[in-house]
Amino acid sequence: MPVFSFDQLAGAAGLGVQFINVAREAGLRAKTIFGGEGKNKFLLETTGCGCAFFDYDNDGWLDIFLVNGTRFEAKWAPGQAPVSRLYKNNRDGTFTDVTASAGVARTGWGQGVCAGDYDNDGWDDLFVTYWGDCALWHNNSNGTFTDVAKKSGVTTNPGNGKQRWNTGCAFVDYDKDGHLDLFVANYINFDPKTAPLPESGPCLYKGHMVACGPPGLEGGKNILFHNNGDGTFTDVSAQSGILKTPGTYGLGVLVADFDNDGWPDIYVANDSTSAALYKNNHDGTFTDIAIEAGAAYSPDGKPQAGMGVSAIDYDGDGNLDIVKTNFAGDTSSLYRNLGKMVFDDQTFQAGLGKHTRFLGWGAGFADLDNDGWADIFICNGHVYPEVGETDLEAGYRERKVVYQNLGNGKFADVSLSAGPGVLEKVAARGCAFGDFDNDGDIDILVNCINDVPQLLRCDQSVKNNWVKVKVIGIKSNRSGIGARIYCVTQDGRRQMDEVRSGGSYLSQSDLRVHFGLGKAAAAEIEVRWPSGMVDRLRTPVNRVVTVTEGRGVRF
Amino acid sequence: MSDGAGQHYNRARVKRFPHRIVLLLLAALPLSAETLKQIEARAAELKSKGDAAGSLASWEKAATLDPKSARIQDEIGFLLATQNRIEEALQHFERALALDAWFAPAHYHLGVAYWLRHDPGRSIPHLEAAATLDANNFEYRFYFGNALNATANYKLALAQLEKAAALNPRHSETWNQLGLARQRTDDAAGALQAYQRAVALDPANLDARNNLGFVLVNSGRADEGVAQFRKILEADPSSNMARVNIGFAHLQKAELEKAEAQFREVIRRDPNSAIAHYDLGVALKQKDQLDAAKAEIERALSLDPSLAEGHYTLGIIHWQSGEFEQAARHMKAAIALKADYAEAHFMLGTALKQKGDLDAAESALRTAIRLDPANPGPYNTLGQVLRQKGDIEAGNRLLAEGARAKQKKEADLGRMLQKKP
Repeated sequence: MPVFSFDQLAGAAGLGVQFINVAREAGLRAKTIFGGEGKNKFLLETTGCGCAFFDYDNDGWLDIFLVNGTRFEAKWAPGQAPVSRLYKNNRDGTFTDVTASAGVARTGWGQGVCAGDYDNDGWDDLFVTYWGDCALWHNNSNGTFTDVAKKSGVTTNPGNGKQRWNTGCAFVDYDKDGHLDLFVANYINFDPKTAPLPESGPCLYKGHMVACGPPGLEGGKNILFHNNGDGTFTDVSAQSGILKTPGTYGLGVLVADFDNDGWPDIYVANDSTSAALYKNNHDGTFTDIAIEAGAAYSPDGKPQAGMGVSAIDYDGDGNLDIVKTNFAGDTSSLYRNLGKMVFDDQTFQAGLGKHTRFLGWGAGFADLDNDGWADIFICNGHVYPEVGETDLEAGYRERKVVYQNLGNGKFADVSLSAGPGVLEKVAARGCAFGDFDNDGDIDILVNCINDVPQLLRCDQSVKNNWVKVKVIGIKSNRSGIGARIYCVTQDGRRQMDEVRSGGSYLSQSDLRVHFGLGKAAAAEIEVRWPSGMVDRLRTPVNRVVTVTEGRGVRF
Repeated sequence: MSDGAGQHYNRARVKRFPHRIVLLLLAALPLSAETLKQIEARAAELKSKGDAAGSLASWEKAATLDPKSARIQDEIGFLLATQNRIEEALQHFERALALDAWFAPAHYHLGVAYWLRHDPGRSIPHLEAAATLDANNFEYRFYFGNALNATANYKLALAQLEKAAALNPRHSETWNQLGLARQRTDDAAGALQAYQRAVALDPANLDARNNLGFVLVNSGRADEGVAQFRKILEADPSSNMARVNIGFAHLQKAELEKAEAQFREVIRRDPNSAIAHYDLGVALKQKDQLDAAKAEIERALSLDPSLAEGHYTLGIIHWQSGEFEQAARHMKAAIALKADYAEAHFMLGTALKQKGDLDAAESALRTAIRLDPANPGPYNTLGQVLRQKGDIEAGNRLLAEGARAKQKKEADLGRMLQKKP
């Protein structure tokens, strides 16, 4: 008679949620174009792009932004070039494509997206990264946007004829002056005229000739822009210490206060090299301590191909931990934060060591079953279309992986019981987390390369309670980015998270902070603002609570 | 992480020296006195009729007439050797050399005889002497080179086999052995060329074809490699070696289903094939079927307890499962079988670190660095170990070493990518 461990029994029960892909019915029908469909010459054609859940019209319903790319060889007819898309939430489960009317139709090699109200006018703006100049879409508060990147000084052209390959981004008030600054990760200094071709090495992957890199190519330099408070920014990368890092090939960006000192730190998932963990020194400078902190490498000290990142206090010890996706043939990484900037790689102990076939991109900690313990959702898809749909590892299109948090420091793989949206194979890249239908569970938006997106609606059968906290900064930045929120229930369970720009793989998730509450009937909420102010409240469950800094609560 | 895959039938083998070579040498022997000449003629005739005993008796008679002839002692030794009377043959070859230390055939035969006695230490100096004394003798060069290959002296073998190939460019096996020497001295392109030549000269040289297939697979031309293995199967349908190598080619391409099918077919034909069970375990591991992989590798180890890679891969599977105690146990078993197994020392150190045994981890990681100083991993892990032990300064020093090792690897790769097609 087989003997099952507690973890196996708990995992077998599953999450009690099903993810259903409703993208088509919801009206998300534009294909993301990104490089060749069967073969690529350059790595630029493989990395794909992110997406965002954000509420651009302040109606309390999440809208969608999907970054789009292009192709080297393509000659598009006028008006036919692929553009990034903005979809307005119709509040009935469907969306309307408002790209043109909103003025955000721009083509090019789009990469990542992050949201934040950089000018504190009460309307969240968007920063979209590109290979080449990025876009800072100022929200005009009337349903339209204006690209103010040049005017505000956040163009990233180095002026030497080369173009930066900008990737992940995040708004962050690193100096706590109430104005959102901007961090932009960079991948490689890429010029198709000089970049090696697959035949150069030759660059082979499992016998297939594929795009070269990034190892062996000149890495890009991350950028930190300081917000001057007048609608303009200044590049402070050098004086802030951002350039002093052993890691390069930056992709996913994650901002969080890892050492609980009240100042935001920045973690960057680097491809094929050590990750970066920029510790905020409270004086406008950062120091990359990832290697010393134990959050840079695999448990055997090897660099990994980091892609997407997310943070949460998954074990309830009061420290924000990190999950990072990596390349195929490797596992995802789970770094447990022991406090004081010391991390311990708990990938294998926690049960994340048994999947090596998938190549991970977007990722997030999210309490998918609202039981009060954050689970892990990972999007996958191979880099190289050349691998096709053979039995090579998990193929070019791959399913997702869902880990259920068992509440004891361990996770159980519940992918196979998490619904058809999880099992459908796609070449996923960025993904964003948010409750687009405001029904209290977390849905997931997935940008797929050379394919239509997925909108994975979460359908719950467990009926656990929840609360979402929307914050409005007054002295702090208006989006409340960086605010830490604690949520305590009567059983003594204390959760925490932060309002976060950027994250996952080059994507933006709901700026409202979500807490699953299990069967609790009420919750104590505490908001610690970047300004130092603290707001406390008690709330009934199953609602969105809006907290304005120092001014009270709206239920 | 490494799977420890890499077992295959591409190993150098001890070669037997065909006697026809020595027969050719006999025909060139000079003659002495008239009576002696008649005896020698009779000896040759008997030998040509397959009467080794009669021929031996004639040569022994000739030896009584000319006891100072190194050549006759060498002939006697040779005939004794053909009757598997190696110990007596050795005495006659030694006697021939005592009579004439410069007599190349005796050195050659003595070298061969010692080789047949599995005594390469005594054999190789005589093979070398023969090749030195008669520098343009193809056979001496070829077999000296062969012996050097078989004893893993690939650099030395390379020189001998290059010369042998120049002396007889149409000898397939010479190119095969030359390919092996080039392959083992990191000249993959040269090896490929040599194996291709060997196969072109003798399409039935299945050993050369196997080596050609293997080099093709390892240079990213897996399909062409598989084609070579399939030709081996056409010639010898019972060849499990070819089947295992086809499976290995699929494994290299991460075609896991196909690899699994091949290994299962080999096991169906030969349930006791340790290498097939091991490679099947590796394929299953790569499919994330860890329990099934464990079972196959354990079976491989029960069939071939000397399979160090089996213990290593089992250790990795336990490590992935968070079972650090078992992981360390298997890494130690791998090291017991192969003391210079750098990756096993490295992963032993890693597993010990993760189970909290920092002193033992430090020792294993220092050994890993000594064995493979170019690998950044052990520096980084040791750096963390030392920091955990409170020696922050030493830990940071090691982490900096790791960064340097990594940068060097990346710089090498960068140089490679600068090559334009």
